[in-house]
Amino acid sequence: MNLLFHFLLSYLFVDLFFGNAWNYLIVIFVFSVLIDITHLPYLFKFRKNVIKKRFGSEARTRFHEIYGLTLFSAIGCLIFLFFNQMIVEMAALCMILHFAVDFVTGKSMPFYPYSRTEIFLGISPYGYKNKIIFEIISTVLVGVLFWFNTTNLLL
Amino acid sequence: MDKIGLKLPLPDVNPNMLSGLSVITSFIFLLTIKFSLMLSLVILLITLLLDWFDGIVARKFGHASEEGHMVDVASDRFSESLFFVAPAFFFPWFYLFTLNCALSLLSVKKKRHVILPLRHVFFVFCVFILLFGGR
Repeated sequence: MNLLFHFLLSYLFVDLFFGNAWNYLIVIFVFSVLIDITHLPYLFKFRKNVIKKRFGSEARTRFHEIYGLTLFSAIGCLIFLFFNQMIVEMAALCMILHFAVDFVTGKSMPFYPYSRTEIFLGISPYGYKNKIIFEIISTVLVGVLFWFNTTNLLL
Repeated sequence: MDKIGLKLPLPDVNPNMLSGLSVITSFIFLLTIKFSLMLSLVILLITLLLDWFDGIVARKFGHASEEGHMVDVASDRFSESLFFVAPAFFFPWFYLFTLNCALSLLSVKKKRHVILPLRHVFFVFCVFILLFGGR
């Protein structure tokens, strides 16, 4: 999924659990898109052919899979003991939502680097064109919910 | 339990899809937990049933494979992550989930299945809370 979708979804969940999400925009933004930094090496490598090459499981590093989930969760658990607990919970929520959404909607190698088995759940549309349409519709829907939320029409 | 499951009239669907649905029900759990523990408990039960059915369907209709096993284990971890990231359960459940993730990686690396049945224990925990007060 795209960065905007991840940010908007994280915002809605943070607002649901903690309230006043507007005050934590930077935290939500940073932690909802942080994992996508791992796409950068792929983007630099195929910068001219990225649309042709598409954005499959090969665009992810181990930090975008369960290896990364374990590592970031462990860091979160450690920081939780010594730092502002609410911020840690918020950051964990944003990151977990990102991991889970990307797992459900795309191809992945969940146990990379220990296994290179590529999996696809078959829930979201398959094929480049259908995937783009699905992504646009999902982002618009979350955007509408975000707009309702910020104008106090929701919750 | 599996013998009972194999006798159930289940449809011949893609078991990976059932695993994926269990992650989606976990999203719904996260949405409802703030409003109703009872409803969340029902959704948790549906998630556990979906997780059970994916294995049953795979065995019953001959879809069992290495890929299916990976999907099952990975979906379980993502599902757990969504359950335990809810602020009310962060401590100690998120810590146990992190341990479970590490165990999953180790299981794949060593080809030995060693996982904690966290969501099942969590279900009993939630039933206990519902029956004897708390939230």
